[in-house]
Amino acid sequence: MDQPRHLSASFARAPLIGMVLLSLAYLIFPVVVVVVISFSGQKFLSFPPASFSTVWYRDILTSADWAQSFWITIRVGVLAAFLSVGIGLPAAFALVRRRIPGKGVLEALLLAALITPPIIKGLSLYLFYAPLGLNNTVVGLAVAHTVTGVPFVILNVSASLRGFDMDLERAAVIHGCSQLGALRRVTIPIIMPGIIVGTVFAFLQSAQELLVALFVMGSVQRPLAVKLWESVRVSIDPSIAAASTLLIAFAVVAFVLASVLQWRRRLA
Amino acid sequence: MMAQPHEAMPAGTGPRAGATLRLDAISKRFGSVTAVNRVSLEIPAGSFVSLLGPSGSGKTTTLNMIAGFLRPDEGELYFDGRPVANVAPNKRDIGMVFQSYALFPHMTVYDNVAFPLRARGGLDGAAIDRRVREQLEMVRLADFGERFPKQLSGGQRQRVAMARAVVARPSVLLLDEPLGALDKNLRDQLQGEIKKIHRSVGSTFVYVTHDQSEALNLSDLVVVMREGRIEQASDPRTIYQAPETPFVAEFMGGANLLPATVASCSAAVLVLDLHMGGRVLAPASGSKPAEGEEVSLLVRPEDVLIAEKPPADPEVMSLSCSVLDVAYFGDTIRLSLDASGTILTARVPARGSAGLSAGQQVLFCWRQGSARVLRRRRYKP
Ligand SMILES: Nc1ncnc2c1ncn2[C@@H]1O[C@H](COP(=O)(O)OP(=O)(O)OP(=O)(O)O)[C@@H](O)[C@H]1O
Ligand SMILES: [Mg+2]
Repeated sequence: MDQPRHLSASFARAPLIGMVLLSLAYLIFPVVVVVVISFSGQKFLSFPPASFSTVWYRDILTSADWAQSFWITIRVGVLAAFLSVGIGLPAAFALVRRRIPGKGVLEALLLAALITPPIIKGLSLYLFYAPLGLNNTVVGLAVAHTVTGVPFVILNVSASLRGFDMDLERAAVIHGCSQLGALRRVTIPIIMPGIIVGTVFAFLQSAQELLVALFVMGSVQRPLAVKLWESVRVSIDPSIAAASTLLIAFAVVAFVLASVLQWRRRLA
Repeated sequence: MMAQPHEAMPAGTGPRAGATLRLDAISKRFGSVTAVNRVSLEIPAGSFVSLLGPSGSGKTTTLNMIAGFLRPDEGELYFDGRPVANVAPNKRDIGMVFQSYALFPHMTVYDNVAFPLRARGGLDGAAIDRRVREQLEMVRLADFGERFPKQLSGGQRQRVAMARAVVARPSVLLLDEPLGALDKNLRDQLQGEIKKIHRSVGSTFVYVTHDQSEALNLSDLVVVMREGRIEQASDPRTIYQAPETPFVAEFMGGANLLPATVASCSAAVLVLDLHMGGRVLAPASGSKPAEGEEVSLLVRPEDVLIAEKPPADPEVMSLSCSVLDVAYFGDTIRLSLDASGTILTARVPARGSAGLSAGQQVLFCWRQGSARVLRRRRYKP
């Protein structure tokens, strides 16, 4: 009976879906190009490549230089993510649950940390680190990336906390938990998706960040982003595409993990 | 005042008498709003008391002070004679059913119900398992232990919340509109179950509601609250049949309240001048009003008689009015009547009232002794 209405609705939806697909294609196209080129069988960058191979992956994965860059990126990213959670989690609780004078200003400052031009961050951190001897150290770069990682954690966690029903925590307390026990057994598990997503963001922004990394860790040991950038200037062969693809794979794996976790919670 | 934090009781030690609660002139202010205003109340051990009142009358705030989530600004709270001001909520030996249930969404029904036993400690795994299964049996959810709260219906969630609240046999159970989110049929059914659970666990139940029939049906003591104060605290019969104030009478539903001035109060019977016109007699019960005082005369709809001719009996009062509407309920009919601008309600047996129809002129009659004179409550500033 209601088939005609159904039909007309899907007709109206068709252009909309087309638009969405187009914008998605626009966003994903560069990624596709990089991934395709990384499997190229040729010695120069061309798209589409005339032949395919995995030779560039073998190149990269067996090169000590690239391996070192990967390893640095992972260490910096993991450390930055942990530091961001360590600072961002309590900060989010304070922001959402306490009455703090000047809360609005604090929240604006958080956003400012996100949109400060990275070149300014890089320069000022470089100058700040020089006397401390923190330039060219994993800890130094991780701390630098924590500056941007913390707002990611705070934004995600405070969004979860705002949607959290305080009665749940009260229910835990009235039925025998201490305040801390209620946090551990009820609040934290329930807002865990927000914490995980914030942590993943903090890691990924560190892994892909170039400008600050160039200043702080650009000369001796280089993280992946810096190494990529330098390789482009020296030689243009598909190994950089392969390295980029691995970076993308990082991101995809991290997001799939985060979404699976979130999806399982939603089922619960 | 020294408070001895009493030890958390070992959980699940079987039925035990509830605690006596005493609220001694407790107040709570939020900014300029006085949510609870010098409330004093004695709740006997193991009884079922309802806090009844319109929205914003301070019921939840009172409950939260008993729970320990809020600290009274003034006054003192006693459990079994001991002040609990310095006892944390988790040490007060309380169970609670929240209006939105507050079931832990990341835990199964089983783990939700086991939560209080685990959190309080003192029981081994096997004992916890036995208690949880018994409790799930009691609320008829034995087969639902592995489900998550999201996978249950509203009524089932309510029963899980109930099971979690009583599983550790707390000495006090607090319920904040536990049936508020359910439809009428389910509410009637669950009222029966709550009553049964109260009998079997023996805790002191404090039940917040704004549904007067729920309060009348369930409680030993009904506490009517208004603007942060107790308007009246009585057993259900008294609160319905002998309300002390116009507010209580109105809140208990369907009452005819006729504003009047006391013309004479010398004899055992009061003489009242109704504002709508007419002079009537009324029984002097309770505290006697003064001559010239403004009062309300309460006539229950079920005490009304409808007549065509003025009654001969001097004990029967009457007002002439016209029928506005006749609603048929099978055994009874409900009449809406207009007595020179005042709308009155009568509930009369359907048998023998077949001739009544809208527009008809009739007499609204009641026996003098069945009415009550209600004085307005005056609070000390
Ligand atoms: N945390 C709070 N901050 C400010 N005002 C509050 C707070 N809690 C309650 N109030 C105020 O105190 C008064 C009593 O509120 P309370 O929640 O106790 O009423 P209630 O009887 O439970 O009403 P309802 O039936 O709507 O639940 C209201 O005027 C309310 O606005
Ligand atoms: Mg309330």
